[in-house]
Amino acid sequence: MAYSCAYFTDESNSLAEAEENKLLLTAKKLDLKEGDLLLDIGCGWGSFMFYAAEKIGCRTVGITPAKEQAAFVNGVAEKRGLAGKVTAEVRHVYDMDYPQAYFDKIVTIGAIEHMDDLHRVFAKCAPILKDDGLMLVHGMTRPWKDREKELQGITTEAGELVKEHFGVGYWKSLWEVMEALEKNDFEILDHENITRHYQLTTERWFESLQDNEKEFAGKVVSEEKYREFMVFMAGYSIGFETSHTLCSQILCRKIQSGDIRPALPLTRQDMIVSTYKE
Amino acid sequence: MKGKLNARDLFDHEIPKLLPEKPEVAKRINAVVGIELTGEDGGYWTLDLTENLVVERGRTKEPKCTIIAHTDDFEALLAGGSVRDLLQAFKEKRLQTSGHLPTILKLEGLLTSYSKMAS
Repeated sequence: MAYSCAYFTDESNSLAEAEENKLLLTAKKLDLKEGDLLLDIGCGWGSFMFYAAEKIGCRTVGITPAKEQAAFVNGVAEKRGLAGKVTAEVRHVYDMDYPQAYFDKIVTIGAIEHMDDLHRVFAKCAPILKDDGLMLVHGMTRPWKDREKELQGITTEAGELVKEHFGVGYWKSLWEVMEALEKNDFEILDHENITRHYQLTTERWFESLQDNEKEFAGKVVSEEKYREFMVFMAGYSIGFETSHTLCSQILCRKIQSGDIRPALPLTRQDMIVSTYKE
Repeated sequence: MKGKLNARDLFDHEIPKLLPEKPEVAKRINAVVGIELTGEDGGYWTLDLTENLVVERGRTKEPKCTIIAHTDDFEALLAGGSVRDLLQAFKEKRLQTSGHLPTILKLEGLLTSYSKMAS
C-alpha cells in the first residue's frame, strides 16, 4: 500500500509496476545492502521498509505519528516473520533520539510536505546517520514564486482547499529543502525531478477511483466524500501537469570540509531503473 | 455581455470573441469539451479548445469531457467564482460531469477568467 509518487520507466506501466520501480530506484540510490540498518521517516504503511527487508535483507525502523500505521506495519511484520527486521514506532520526527551514527541509511518518502521545519528535521538526521551513510529525501515542492506569495500571506481559495484536504501541508520550494540539507551538514549528491512521475501516479489513482466507484461510493465512504476525493485526485494531477506542484528525489550524504570523499559511482548508471528489470 | 452573467451569451458570443484574443488560456486545455445546460436558456455547446478554438451549438464533436448543470446553477457558480462553491456543487451533484474530470478542472479556470473578462 503506497501513497506517494511511483516511477514510470514507460508510460504504459501499470501502477503496481511503477510502484515496484520506485521502490527499486530508491533502494538503488541508497545503495542498500544486506544488513544495513535503515530509518524510514514517515514510513506510512511500510511499503519501503518491507521492500528493503524482504528483497535486500535490511533491518528497518520506521517512524510515523499515526498509531494505526505503526500497528499495521508491526502486524504485517509479525505475520511475515519479519518481527525484529521491520519495526514501526509511533514517534514524531522532532522527537527522534536515536544513538549517534546509528543508521546506515535514512529515507523519507512523501513526508517532508507534512513537516513545518526542515532545518529541525535534518539537524536531527545528521547525527544519527553514520559518516559513510546515505540519506534520500523524496517529496513535493512548489515553484519559488508561488511559495514566496504564500510566505507573504497571499493565498488562493484552491490552495486553502488543498491544505484542508491534505491535512498539514507545507510545500516548500526546492531550494529551501536543499538549503535545509546543506545547512545541516549534508552534501547533495544527486537530484532527480520526478514531477512527471507523480502526474502519472495521480492519474492512475484517479482512474482507479473512477473504475471502483461502485465499491467505494456510499459503501467505504459517503458519495459526497467519494466525489470530493475524485476532484482532489484530478486536481493533484492537474497541479503536476501545470507546474503548480513538483516532486523530487534528493540523495545526500554527510559532509565535512577536509573529509576524504567516498568513492561514489562516477556515473548515474547505477541508479537507473530499466524497463527490463534485472 | 455586461451585468448579470448569461450562459447563452457567454457561449454564443463572448467566449467565441475572446478565444482569438486570449488563445493561450484555451490551448492549455487542449481538448474538446461539452457544456450541457438544462432549464430555460439551456442548450448544448461544443468547445473545441485544441488547435481550432471554436465554440459551436450542439454536440458537433466527440467531447473528452462534459459539464452538465442547470443553467441557473451554472450561472450562479460562474458569477460567484468560488472554487469552494464549485466543489460543493459537484459533491451535491448540482454540477455533473462525464468523461475526463481533470480536463474539467482545467476548464474551470478558463470559464472563470473568460466570464470575468466578459462581465
